[in-house]
Amino acid sequence: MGDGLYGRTLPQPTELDGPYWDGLRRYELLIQRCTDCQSYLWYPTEVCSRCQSFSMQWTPVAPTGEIYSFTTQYQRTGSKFDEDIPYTSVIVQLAEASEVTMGGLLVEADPDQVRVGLPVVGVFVDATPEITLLQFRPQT
Amino acid sequence: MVPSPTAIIVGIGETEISKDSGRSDVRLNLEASLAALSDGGIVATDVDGIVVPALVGATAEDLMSALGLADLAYSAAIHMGGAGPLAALAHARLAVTSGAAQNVLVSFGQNGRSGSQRLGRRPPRLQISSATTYRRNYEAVHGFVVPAPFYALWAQRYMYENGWTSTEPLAHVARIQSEHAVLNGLGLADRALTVEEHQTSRLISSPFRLYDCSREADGAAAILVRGVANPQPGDVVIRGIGEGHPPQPDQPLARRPFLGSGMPGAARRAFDMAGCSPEDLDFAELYDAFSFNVIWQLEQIGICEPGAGAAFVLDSQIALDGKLPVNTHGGLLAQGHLWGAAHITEAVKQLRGTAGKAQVSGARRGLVTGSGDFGDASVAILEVS
Ligand SMILES: [Zn+2]
Repeated sequence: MGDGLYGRTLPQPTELDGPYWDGLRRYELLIQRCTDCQSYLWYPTEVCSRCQSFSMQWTPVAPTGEIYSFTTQYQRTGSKFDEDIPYTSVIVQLAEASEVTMGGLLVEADPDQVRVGLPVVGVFVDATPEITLLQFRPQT
Repeated sequence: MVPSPTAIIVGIGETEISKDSGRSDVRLNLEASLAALSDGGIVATDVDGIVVPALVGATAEDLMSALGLADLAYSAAIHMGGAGPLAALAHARLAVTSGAAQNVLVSFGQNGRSGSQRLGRRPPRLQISSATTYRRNYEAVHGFVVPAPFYALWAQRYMYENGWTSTEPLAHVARIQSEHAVLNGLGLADRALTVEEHQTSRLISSPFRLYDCSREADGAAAILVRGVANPQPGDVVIRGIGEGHPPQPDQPLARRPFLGSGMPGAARRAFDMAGCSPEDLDFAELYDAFSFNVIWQLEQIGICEPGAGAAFVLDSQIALDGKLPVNTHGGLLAQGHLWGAAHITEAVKQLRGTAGKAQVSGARRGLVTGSGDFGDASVAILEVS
């Protein structure tokens, strides 16, 4: 688990999801898209789960969408996130790839104002010189 | 052709359920197992099959060594999280009906409260269990490091889709099960909760409050399954049993449909095998890691129409005197979390008529569910012959 200044869990990029993390470092969200059936696929995968094609391309997608579901954490978990309690974790349904929902931390938001359907935009957070994370904030 | 044997549950065993057992995981399993063997009228060396329900507790090797089993004919291990104990029962049934084994032991036990597995006691382990990259790179980095927030997301979405304006239905699940636990008398809950206590308890992972979450516990429960040519009156028969898996089983945050689960498929298979339907049940022991799971499952297994689970609970239809008593022992919420193994032993007690003050009068047929590992499910229908 990564520490440093960011202090919370850090990813360990793999050969498969490397392009996703490389994209985030350039403040760009890339999602795999099947070049045969055009489906967007998330989590990163070796094969298109809709048509079993191995032909997929990492495709830029706007990091905007709506909150599909959310939870605000009040109880300690024994992780480095405990310093941030209460914090809100969300699932975001992407506007440009509605078949994709992805997890994220919601920042700059009052827990009482969070609701399903709230429009959000991506925030690129440089956790370390190597790792940038995609978080979300309410659209203003 | 000789007909296949019928699988019956001939023995059950339990330890006490506590916050600090003072003995090892293996010891707990052995105590429950020996009690189950004694209840089933056999000695240790008569066991010729073991199905290990989970990746915690005792291994098959632990049990073989300790029980002195020198010629085990069948073993298997299940990797379905909290669905494991009931899924193990399905494997035990397959083993005895196929003739691979005659007496198959399923034992679950661990120090879930006092031991090192307790959540919050050590760095969260979800991210380093199975599917390491998924858990870490797409979930843990966003704060999803323990089970509660995942189930909270499902509950929140369900509440949105069903137009809930409060969590009062969840409070009634917690209230009713605590009342059952007090009658049962074997678990951690020592008093009945009120709806107000639930609604003013502290938030854990919204919308879940303290009493929406199961109580981690120390303890063990074991089940002995045997194949017989002709079940005798009073025997507890595994009439139907099935498992199910959700789409994108290890990708809960991206799952489509998001509220999809293995439960409907498991229930369909179990009812088909048993040749009965939800209205034929006398009680149900539903896997309740969180209060919401009870309402969700009432709909997933067809006891309630979609969206009708809340009204059923608010009307106390899951209480002992309701239409379908649920979690008559208090469940994971109030009795204690033994991964659903005690759901199975409680169902057997109900069918034997030995469930004490929480006995459902005239119980002849009951349903048990197990659920875990982000949506894996198992459903069994047990019936007294
Ligand atoms: Zn495709």
